Amino acid sequence: MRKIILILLAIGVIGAGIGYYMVNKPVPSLEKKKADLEVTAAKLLTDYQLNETAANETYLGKLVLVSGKVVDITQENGIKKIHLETPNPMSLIICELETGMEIGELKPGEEAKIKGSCTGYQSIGDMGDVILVQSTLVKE
Amino acid sequence: MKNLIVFALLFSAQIAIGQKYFSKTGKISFYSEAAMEKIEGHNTSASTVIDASTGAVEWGVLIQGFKFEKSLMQDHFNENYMESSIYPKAKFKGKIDNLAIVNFSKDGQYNVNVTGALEIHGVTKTVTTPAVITIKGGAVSARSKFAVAIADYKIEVPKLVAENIAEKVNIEIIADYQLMNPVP
Repeated sequence: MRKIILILLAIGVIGAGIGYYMVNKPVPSLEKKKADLEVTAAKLLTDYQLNETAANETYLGKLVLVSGKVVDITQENGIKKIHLETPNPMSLIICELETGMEIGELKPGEEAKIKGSCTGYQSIGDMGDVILVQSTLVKE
Repeated sequence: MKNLIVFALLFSAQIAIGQKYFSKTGKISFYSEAAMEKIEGHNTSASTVIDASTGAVEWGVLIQGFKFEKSLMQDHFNENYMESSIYPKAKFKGKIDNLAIVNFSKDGQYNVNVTGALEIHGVTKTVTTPAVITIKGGAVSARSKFAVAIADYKIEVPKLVAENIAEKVNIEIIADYQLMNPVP
C-alpha cells in the first residue's frame, strides 16, 4: 500500500515538474529545425506584392530559407537584423536574428542564406517589407 | 540674382516635398497585468510614417513578430487571442490633431494628440491618444502610451484563464524617424 502511494506521489511530482516546464518553457530556437520551404529574396517579395493573401497562405508562419544579397546589417538594443535586397528599391526582406546568433564575417554586398519564421508583409504607402523573425544564418 | 531666386524657390519646394519621416524599426510593446500573471510582448520591426506637412501618421505591425519570454504565451497570443494566421497585421492610420504646435525644424518636445483608426484582430475603432514628438538636432522621434480594452477588438478570453489576462492592455510605442527621400 505504501509502495503504491509512493509511486503515485512520484508520478504526481514528475507530472507537476513536466507541467511547470511546459508552462515556463522559453521560445525554442529554430536553428536546428528544417526549413519548410526555400525561396529567393526576389521571389518572396514579388509573391507578396502580387498577391498578399495567396503569399500568406504559402509563407505565413512557415520556416522559410531565403537566399539573397545582404544590403545592410544593423544592431539596435541587442537585436541584430540582416536586410536582403529585393528588385524593389523601397522594399527589403528584413531578417530579425535569434538572440545570441553571431553574424561572423558576413558583410553587405555578399550573398547569404537565412532561415527564419515568416511573419508576413508590412506595408505603408510605398514601403513594403517581408519580415522574418527568429532567423539564423545558414552556412553552406 | 535671378539664379539665386530660382535656387531658393527650388530649395524651399524640396523641403516642402521632403517632409515625410519614416521608420522601419518602430518598437511596440504591450503589457497585460492581471491578478495571476504579468505578460508582455515586444515587436521591434514596426513601420511608421509621419507627414510633417499634413500631420498624417501611420503605423503598421505584424502580429507574429511579437516576442515573449515564454513559448506558451507566444503560442496562445497568436493562436487563441490574436488569431494571427487570419489577422496577421495591426494598423493605425490617423492625424495629429494639433499639428500647428509642432515645429519640425526646432528642437523641443511637443505634446500632441493623435486621432485615427486603430485596427486590431480585424476590428477597427477610432481612438485618440496623447503622444510626444521630440525634435533633437533635426532628428525626429515619437512615443505614445495608451490602453486598449481587448473586448473592443473581439478578443475572447476563456473564463478559465480570465484571471491571467488583463481586460485592458497597455501599449507603448516608440520610433526614431528618418527623413524619407522623395521618389524621383
